[in-house]
Amino acid sequence: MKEVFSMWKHTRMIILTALSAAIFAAGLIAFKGGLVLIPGITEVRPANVIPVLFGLLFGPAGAWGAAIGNVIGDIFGGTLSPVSIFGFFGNFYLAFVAYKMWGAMFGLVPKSDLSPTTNSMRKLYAYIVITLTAAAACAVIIAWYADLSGVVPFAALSVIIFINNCIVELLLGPPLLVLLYPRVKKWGLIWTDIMNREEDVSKGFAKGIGALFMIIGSFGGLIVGLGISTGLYAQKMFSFGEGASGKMGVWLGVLPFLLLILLAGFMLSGREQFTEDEED
Amino acid sequence: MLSISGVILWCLFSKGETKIFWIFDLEAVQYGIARTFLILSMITSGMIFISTTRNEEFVQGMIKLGLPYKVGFAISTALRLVPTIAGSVVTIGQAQRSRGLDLDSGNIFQRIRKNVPLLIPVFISMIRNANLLSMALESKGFGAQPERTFYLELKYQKADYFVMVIMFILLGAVIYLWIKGYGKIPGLIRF
Repeated sequence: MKEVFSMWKHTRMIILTALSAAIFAAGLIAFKGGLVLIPGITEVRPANVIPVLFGLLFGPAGAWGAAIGNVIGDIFGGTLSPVSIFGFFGNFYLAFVAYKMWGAMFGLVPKSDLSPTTNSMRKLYAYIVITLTAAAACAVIIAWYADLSGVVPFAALSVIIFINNCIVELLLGPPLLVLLYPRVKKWGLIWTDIMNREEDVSKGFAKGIGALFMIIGSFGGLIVGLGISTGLYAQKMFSFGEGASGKMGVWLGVLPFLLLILLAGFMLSGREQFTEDEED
Repeated sequence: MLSISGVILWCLFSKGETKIFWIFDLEAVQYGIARTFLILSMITSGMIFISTTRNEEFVQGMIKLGLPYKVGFAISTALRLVPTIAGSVVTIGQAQRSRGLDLDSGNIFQRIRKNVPLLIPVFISMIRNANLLSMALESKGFGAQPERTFYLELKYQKADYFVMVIMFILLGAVIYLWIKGYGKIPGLIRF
């Protein structure tokens, strides 16, 4: 997590944060009046490809950009609501999970070439796993709070966010990454080219287990939350819990998984992606 | 358009006890109208805010409230870049049209698919500009000092205190009415 705060001392990372936020916000605003899924809360968001894409390329700058861009999109798109608070954290994690997990993908991303691009089948598999995990983490974070604050039930919002994130990221992400990476690398704007490995980036510990915890936390939270909110624990499908037990179900059932996601964020590093300059 | 779609869609996501016709229940329509007013008020206030507040004033205000100036700078730059990106999309779209690309025909999904190739030049031009901007900032010593000074100095005016008092009174009134149970729609069930 150290790099999330230490990045602010690098001017280029600050500009990349602004750039990521602006592109994401512009993409969100453009589709605010398009296909609305839950009025005032969410809509079909083709711009959701940006957080994972810029997370992989710009690291923590992409994460801050996604978070800030989502709030700007909410403000000027007319969907600012209590959910926007956790929309900030959810979209932050959408990009954060991507760059944190890239170097800890159980060997899918070879140590000989850790460049954040989908230029091989193994890297494409890694990208798919990361995208699904990031989408689930984002869905769990936002939907948990939306249920907690009584705005939208967990089952409805989590599924919409998860699918909304996955589709565009899986369809548009790989080709965009292949096309953008060489140019961004050439300009020296990949986050590992800007930040200092030892000074700026957290060391992490047990990174493989951290990646596993991230996957378990994200999908576990999604599955358990959906299970509770669609029938278990006295809660009816697509409705808020009735009575104390129903309400507490989603909040308490999903909370351990949220804590696991948070812990995994501390365990994962990103230092392993700092390699000597390689060109592909 | 937003108002009509908002009211109709909220009728799908909520229901009530008094049937009007088909999926439309009175309570759901009332709720839909209320949500639409909320969204419209946010859009309107957002428009008034960006029309009347300069970026520098907005950022300095946030910095005076304790936000680190580098974060404030990132936010203000992002806000300034949004219309630039929109303009860039239009320019690149027109350039592609002049080469024969048809962006206007087909259904919404076909149009989205046709617009995807425009993303690359937009991203590339914006990233290149960002690179130049960061070099310009570094050459001017941005971030060299932990604190920074501003040419623009903001000070509270009488009008600011007046608006703050009005806002606090309104907030108090809203909280009082909420506690008293006003604003709720009896019989409304939200999904």
